[in-house]
Amino acid sequence: MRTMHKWILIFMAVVICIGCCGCSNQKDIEDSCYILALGFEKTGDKYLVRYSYADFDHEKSNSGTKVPSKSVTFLADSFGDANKKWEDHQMNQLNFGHLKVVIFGNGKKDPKIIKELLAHPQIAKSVFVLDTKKSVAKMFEKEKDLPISFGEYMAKAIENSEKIAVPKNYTLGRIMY
Amino acid sequence: MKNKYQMITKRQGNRIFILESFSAAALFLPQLVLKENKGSAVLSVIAACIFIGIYFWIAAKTAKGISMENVLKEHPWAAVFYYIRFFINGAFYYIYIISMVSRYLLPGRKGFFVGLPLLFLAWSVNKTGLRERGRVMEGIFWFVLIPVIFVLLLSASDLAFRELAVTEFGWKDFGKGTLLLAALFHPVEFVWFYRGDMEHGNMKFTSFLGLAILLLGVYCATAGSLGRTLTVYDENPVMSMAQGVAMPGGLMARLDIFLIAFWIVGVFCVFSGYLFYGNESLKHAFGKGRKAGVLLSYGGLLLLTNWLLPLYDFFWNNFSYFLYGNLLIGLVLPLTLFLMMQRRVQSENNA
Repeated sequence: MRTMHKWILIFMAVVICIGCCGCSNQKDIEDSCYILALGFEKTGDKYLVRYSYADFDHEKSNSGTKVPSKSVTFLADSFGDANKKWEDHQMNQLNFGHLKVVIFGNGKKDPKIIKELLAHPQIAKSVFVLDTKKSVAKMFEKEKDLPISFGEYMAKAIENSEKIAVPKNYTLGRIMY
Repeated sequence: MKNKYQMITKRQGNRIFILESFSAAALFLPQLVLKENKGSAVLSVIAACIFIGIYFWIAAKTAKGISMENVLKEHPWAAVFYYIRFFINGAFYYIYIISMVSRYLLPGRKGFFVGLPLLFLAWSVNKTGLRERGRVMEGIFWFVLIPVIFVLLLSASDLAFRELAVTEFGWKDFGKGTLLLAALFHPVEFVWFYRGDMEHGNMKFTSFLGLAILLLGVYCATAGSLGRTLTVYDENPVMSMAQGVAMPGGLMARLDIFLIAFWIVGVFCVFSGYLFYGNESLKHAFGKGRKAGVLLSYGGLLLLTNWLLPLYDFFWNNFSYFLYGNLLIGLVLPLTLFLMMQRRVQSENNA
């Protein structure tokens, strides 16, 4: 009976190793695209969705964890539609686990997009959500000159701003206060 | 003579009580109470904790010295009823765990591959009896609770107290909120299954107090972080609360994955509890047929995995009926059975 249990345990360990540890779908860090900032701008019925992602090709050897970023923009019906278009055109898999900031350009925060952001399992409720009267393209102009990612730059700017008393009030988790 | 594989220590009994009563209920608590009682939810949480305390006290007194084994031998129909009911409840928590794992930890993984190790683990924990299960629960107690306490403490620095304060009070809303929470705490009925098998001592008041503090902490951390509106709107507000918590100094920006991984172990305690007590009921009542019961429950769940997963929305949409049903049957039935048994024992002693 004990031998039987031993073989069942070995069988289970093998099943878990094969089925659950992800070896069959292993990926390097460069195979995922880490989105650090998002920009949304409504144009008619559609949205310009700007993804700002970690640019590992231009990472300096002495930069530690500071990685610059670059952007790509899609015209889509929604956030979900933009993600689908990304998957159709880009090789790397989207990862929103490190997202720092979401910017709504040309006006106000869009409730439809906010709902999609809230429902996304990878997007933390600590992500800053801002709106600006400027266009998204104008906002992200600075990105190419920054030694760090645009998302991190914006997050630090909010946290250190003297005009913002409680930065947490600008996060996705407090969007419905 | 009592079965030695059924006996647990005082500490094991208290730890089983906290793990089984807290783990699953706390995940749904903030959202459910705010749905029914937005103006004075915190009062409903306190009232529901008092309800658990009273129920816990009644159960501890009534079941003292009377084993569920003896009660079910007297009422075999109740054993079959428990087996079926606990299978349905276990199925809900089974698909809940798989959904959580698929959503947060292993996206894209097939439910079967998550379900198989889960059921194997549940079977391993439960196969020997209550004593073995008690040992496992005793061992994983702090493993589950330390991350929860850690996240609750970290979230305390940034709470919005106006979201927690009582803004308006209505007896009807208060009653509805409290009743729904009382129904949510239905796994507390497990206490009937092990109270009579505890050696050397009673259930401790501090266990109930600790449970109440944890439940109140989860409510305050969630509603205070997300606000009442988002807590009701969000699919998993407790996990969203954890997403907003970060370690000071930028050491860890997100603690949600950390919390989910440990909390799933807590929900596993409730899930495995349903399968365990369901199978034990059959074993106690009939003596034979244990293997068939085990095979049907564990094997049945595994085979039904892909069929059950799409039913998650159905369960979730009818969650309040599921809870009220459990409140009515789960909390009243064992009380009646044990009172009948107590009377019988007393009359035998008098004779």
